[in-house]
Amino acid sequence: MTAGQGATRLVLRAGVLVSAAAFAIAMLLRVAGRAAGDGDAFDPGAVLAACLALDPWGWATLGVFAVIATPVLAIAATGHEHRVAGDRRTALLSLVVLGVLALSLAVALLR
Amino acid sequence: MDGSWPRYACRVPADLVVLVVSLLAGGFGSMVGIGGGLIVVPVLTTLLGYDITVVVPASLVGVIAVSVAAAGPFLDGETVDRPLAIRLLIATAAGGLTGGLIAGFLDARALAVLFAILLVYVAIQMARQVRPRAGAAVADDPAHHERSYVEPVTKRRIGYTPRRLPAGAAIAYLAGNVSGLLGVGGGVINVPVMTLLMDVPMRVATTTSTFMLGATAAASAIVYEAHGRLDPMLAAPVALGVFAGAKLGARLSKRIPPSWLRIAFVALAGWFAVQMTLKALG
Repeated sequence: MTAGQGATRLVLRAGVLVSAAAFAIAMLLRVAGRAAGDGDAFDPGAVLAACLALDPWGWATLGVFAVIATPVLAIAATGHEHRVAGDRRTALLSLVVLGVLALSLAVALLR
Repeated sequence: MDGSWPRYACRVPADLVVLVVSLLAGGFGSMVGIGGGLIVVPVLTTLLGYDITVVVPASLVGVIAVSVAAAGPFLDGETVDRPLAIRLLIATAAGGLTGGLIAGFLDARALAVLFAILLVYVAIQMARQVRPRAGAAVADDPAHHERSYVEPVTKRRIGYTPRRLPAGAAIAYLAGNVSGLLGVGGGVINVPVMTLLMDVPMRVATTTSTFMLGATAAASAIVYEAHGRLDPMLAAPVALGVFAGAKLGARLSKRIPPSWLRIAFVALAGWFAVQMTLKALG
């Protein structure tokens, strides 16, 4: 608990703001009567197009990816902060955690 | 749930119910470090009629939301043991990945029974720890330990030394699997493992577990998303609810003695064990 925590805090707060905003927009669009479409969540173009078309699915999918990305980035920030603080062991272990998460993404993309 | 929503007249109340349930789950989950899935999954499936195969991935998104929303305030309080979290995360994230992968192959009933038995065991073990041990003040002297934190309620600096890391990591891998399979936070296992096996104080265990839940659930949520089993339109109200609840829970957590949190944990674990058993018995 001696390493700095500023970057990790920033990542967590930004992730909360972005994902909460995306989810809130999706919910407001549904309440306003917009029908939710569907598409390939791993196609950034489709998600972006859905967002621009005010499709609740697009905004909800954006929120899902934002919320999933936040802890991953927080681990990266934690590793960086421990490296700066001289705790190389924790920094290296953070990379191992990121490797496991990258493996999840690889499995997902190889579906 | 087939991905469609109830008719317009019912949509807003249904959304609000999911939001309120998720808010309560997120608040309590962040206080005890177990995430909101323990409440969200059984309530949405048994009371609101959603299919559990859709609820589990949405709940995982809620678990991540609890983690990221509560971890910030916990970092401010400097009670999160991040070096310990990173070490355990290697195991829980790997468990989350395998849990997400095998979710479609395991018998859910058998898993539910095993999980209920585990919860009862954990609840009994935690109940025995509710009263502070005699001589705790001497045992917690920071001078005799490698790590310490300031207890927010008493403002006293408390020392501790995490022990039995390999055994803790092995069980943490199981926790990751349970998280990925059932859509609950691995904290239901991680917190008692840290307090009972690794000699980590309850306060540090709950906040550290909360910090870990996000990356653990992310490993399996990615797999669910890839397999097309994550409905973002259900995940949205669940995540929004737990966002708000976790913020509230993190504030309340600093004002509530750890023993109260432990009692609450015992009550929730017992309740969930009953729910899982009833579900397994059909």
